[in-house]
Amino acid sequence: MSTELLSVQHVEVRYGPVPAIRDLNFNVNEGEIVTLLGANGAGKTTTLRMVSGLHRPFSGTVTFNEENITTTPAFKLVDLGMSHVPEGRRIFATMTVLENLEMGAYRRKGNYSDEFDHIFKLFPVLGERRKQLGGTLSGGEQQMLAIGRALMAKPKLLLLDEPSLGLAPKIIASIFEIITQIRSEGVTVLLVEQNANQALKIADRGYVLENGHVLYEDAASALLNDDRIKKAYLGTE
Amino acid sequence: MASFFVLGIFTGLIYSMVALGYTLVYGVLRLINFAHSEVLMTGAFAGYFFLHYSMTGTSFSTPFRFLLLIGAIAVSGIVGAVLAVVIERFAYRPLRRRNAPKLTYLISAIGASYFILNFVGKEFGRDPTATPQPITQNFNVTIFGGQISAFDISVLVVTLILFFITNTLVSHSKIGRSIRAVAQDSETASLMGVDVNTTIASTFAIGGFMGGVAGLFIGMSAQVSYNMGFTPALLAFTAAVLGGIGNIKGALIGGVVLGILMYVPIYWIHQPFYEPVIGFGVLVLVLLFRPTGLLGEALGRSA
Amino acid sequence: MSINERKWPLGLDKDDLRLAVTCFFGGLLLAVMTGPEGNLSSPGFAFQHSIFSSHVYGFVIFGLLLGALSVTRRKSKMGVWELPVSLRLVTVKEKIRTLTNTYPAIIFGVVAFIALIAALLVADFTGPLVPNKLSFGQLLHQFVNSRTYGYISIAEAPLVIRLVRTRLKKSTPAQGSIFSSNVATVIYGLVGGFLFALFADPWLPPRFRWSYFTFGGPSNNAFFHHWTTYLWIVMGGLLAGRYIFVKTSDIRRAKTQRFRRPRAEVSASTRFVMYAGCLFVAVEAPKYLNAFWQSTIYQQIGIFVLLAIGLNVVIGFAGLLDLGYVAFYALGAYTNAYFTGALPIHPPFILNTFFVVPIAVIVAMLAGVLLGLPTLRLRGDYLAIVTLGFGEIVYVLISNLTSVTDGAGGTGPAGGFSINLPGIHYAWSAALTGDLSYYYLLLGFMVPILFLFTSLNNSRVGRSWAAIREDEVAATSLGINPLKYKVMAFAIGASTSGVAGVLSSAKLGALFPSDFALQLSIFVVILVIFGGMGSIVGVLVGAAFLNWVTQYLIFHSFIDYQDADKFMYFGALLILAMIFRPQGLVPSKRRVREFEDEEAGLGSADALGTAVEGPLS
Repeated sequence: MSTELLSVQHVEVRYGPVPAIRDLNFNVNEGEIVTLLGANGAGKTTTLRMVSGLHRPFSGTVTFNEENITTTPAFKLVDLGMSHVPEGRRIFATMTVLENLEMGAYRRKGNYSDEFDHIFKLFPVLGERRKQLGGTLSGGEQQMLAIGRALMAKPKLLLLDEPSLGLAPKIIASIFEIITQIRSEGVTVLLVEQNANQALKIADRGYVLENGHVLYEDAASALLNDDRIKKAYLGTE
Repeated sequence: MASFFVLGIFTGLIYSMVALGYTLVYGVLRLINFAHSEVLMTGAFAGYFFLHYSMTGTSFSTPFRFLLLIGAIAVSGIVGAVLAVVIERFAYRPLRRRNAPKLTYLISAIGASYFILNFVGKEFGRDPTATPQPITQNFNVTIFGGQISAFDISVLVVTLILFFITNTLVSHSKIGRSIRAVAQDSETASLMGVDVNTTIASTFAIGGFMGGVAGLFIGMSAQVSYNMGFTPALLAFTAAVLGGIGNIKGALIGGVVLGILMYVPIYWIHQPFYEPVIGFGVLVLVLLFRPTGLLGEALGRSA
Repeated sequence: MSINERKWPLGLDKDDLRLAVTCFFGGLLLAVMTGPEGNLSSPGFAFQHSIFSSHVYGFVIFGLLLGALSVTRRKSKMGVWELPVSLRLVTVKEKIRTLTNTYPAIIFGVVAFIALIAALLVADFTGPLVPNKLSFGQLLHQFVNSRTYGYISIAEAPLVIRLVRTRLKKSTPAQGSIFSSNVATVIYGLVGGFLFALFADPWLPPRFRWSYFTFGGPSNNAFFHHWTTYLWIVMGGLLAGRYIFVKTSDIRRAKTQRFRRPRAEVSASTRFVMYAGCLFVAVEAPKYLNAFWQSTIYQQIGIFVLLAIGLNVVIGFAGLLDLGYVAFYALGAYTNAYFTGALPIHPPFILNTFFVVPIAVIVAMLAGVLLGLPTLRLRGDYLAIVTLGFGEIVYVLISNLTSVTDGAGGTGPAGGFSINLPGIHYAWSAALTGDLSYYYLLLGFMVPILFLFTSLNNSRVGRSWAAIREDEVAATSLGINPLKYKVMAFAIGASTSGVAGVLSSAKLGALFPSDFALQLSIFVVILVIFGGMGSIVGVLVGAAFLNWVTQYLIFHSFIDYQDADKFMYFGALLILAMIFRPQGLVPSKRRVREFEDEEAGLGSADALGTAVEGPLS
């Protein structure tokens, strides 16, 4: 068994008085792709935002790389090796592609031109448009830029929130391909997806969330063949 | 006529320095920093004390006068910057941490403004006083019938230098990049590792420095008093809106254009109290006909 | 815990130190704030005299204690410090509960003590005016007179009633006994009214003798010679009748209907009694005041309460910020001056002030619409600074346009209110002190306005305002035109301010620009915020209270307080209110919910456009 990178224990997150997540437990091991599945409003995005420090948990503990990060603010987690690709890509529209990538390496000191080469090898299209403003890119390119920007920080753990949202099927396929490639380079991935079928195909393990807590957890292949999951989330019989 | 034109330009330059403070804060937080007028006033007081205690003799050599001016600018600017950061720390940050509604920010800023205003009034008295002049009064150049004094020239030089530095800082430095990132999307910026609080504080500091220096010049051209900040700040906000709020170059251009628009009519009406009235009219007209200002809003997204 | 953290003794951390230091400097700041006035020629004077004086210790110790308290609270909340069981808040609460369960009289005693203090304060408030800094003897003089006893009795009356009622309940009276019959209720009412009149009659001299209570006593003071006595007795009887009516109809309703009104909602009858009670206090209470407060309650308190009620429509109902509110007040006042011929420019016809009121409403409303339309079309937050500019411009114009407004020297006497009908002639007196005629006139304006605003807020319009505050996009998609409703709120606020201006000018006579300085706008904002934006009751209470405090401090100052200092305290108050209690003293329930929702990221609480994006930690 590989070592545990992220562990979430008994976490509750509230929006005002309303709990969005209750008694949530899950963990991510080093080198894995773990996916969180669930319907709209199940608490997937909130979970990611809580892990990356955008939302403070009401109770419970979050441990990352053997360090307690329950109350650590988001910007310090980048130093620890966690990068979050937020839902809806959220790239800096009035900055160029290059500037966006530089923002990703904001906390790093020294030369990071190697990283640029690496990102441009991973996403050749970004290399072609490096001087273009982020807001003028297409949806797929923006998603690539958002992932590339997060990789600039050289993370140990990459949090991906709905990378397939609003993209054409062909582009979705290539995005998922890239995610497997990123994992093969040694980055652990925590993936939140509506597109359960695709996500389970590349993931090692999956958690199914409902009403803010874990309903099922299993190996991805097992979940893919589970009748209940099929019925509820995959849309196949 | 020409002299009013010149007066307008140089007064406008001072306003544009104040406008920069509004523009930067608006760009980053989408907020009108009502307490900025007090930054200006405190800068003027700092300059007054510095000059009052350093100019104790009767005659000064030109290099010494020059040094005094530099010193006063530094002191006023730093005091302004510190005050702006303190305002941010106590009137804005506790609200931001709670994710409070915008209305509460405006009210808390008004509170900060009135607190500082009347605190200074209580501690230093409420009578206006003149600032000692480090710049010679005997130097005048006449261009196209308008008289330009050494004071005007120093205003021009200082404003341009400070604007150049600020613009470079915001568009080319790392801190500038973080300011622009926070202005666009503070949450994503924090995911990139930007410390949003520090970034916002440094934005206030830059604006506060400029505001403090502007206060010094206003104190030197008029008088120092606890309530001196109000009208210039109002006009400076007009200048910021006129140039396009959130836009650094817009602040400079807006200030100068507003200065000209305000002073040239005074030539015909001979009633100096109409100056703020015209400025206010300009604000309403801009909001009616060109709400994004002359140069548009650049630092952040359009609202 | 998190990265790069040093170990502190006792489990303290950086935040604790910051808290303690903040409290310490807060205490120091308070000491300087309450210190003497300074001047620019010796800039260190004020600081020196407040920091190197004995009263600084009090404030610093206060600050340190506060710091220690908050650190302790924080640590025990975080679970770092284990307080001994006997000291924990839960234990203490539990102890108090068991104690009061065993000895219910303790609650009675505590409440009685609070009521006693309140009554003493009120007695002091209505007592003779004492100049700066009370001496102990003067204080005693304020307290030792019959008026004080009267107030104490009034304050304790509810307690006595409660005590009697609990006793009665315990003894479970048989059905039809004297205590439960309707006749008895009416008798209670009449006797209560009599007692109220007895203790609270304003015409009684400070030290009473029995002879005052006879019909043949000294004519000026005889108790039974005053109509208020009968009024109160009749009021008591009416209240009792109302109580019986409601009780019997409630029983009838409970029998016929399965569903009862939800408990949280105040029933209509309770509301009626509350409103009636408030109105009668508003009518009667000023009579007990001394001459100074009788004039203050109009010019310094009443007018500002009216202003605050109007501004509440803008801030509380529509969620906008108007900082030039006093400009409309000035417009109203100068409209009155114009139409009553007090200005250098002459009107086409001289009007009675009663007829100026609608004109002032129209003028202020028009100004509001002209100012609001271009500004509100775009951004709510610009309204604040545009109105601030407007306030300043109006001030500059009325001070400088000498040929129109007489400038800083002040106008001629503006006309007051009067009735000139065949057979009825009455002119409201503009006497400076000790006259309540204008106060009652103000009340006559205020009550319909209050009624109007309450029903407006509960109507379609009020719901539209709420919808715009909470989610402007959704409101628009439902067919609500946000611009229309925002401008409407702004104009309603403006016209109320205009009415207040007419009322104020009628009493003041000559108008000076300094009466309309911009900081008055800020003052009204503070009144609204302090009481609770959106809550009419809150605004009434807050405005009356703050105005009273500022007036009170001028004459009873225990600190170096100048009238000009009030904005320093108010500024600090605004910041603290926004940090700790943005909903105000007596908040509106809906507004509280909106604040909570916005803070949780679920909606918005104002109509100023996009919310501020801030970091989340």
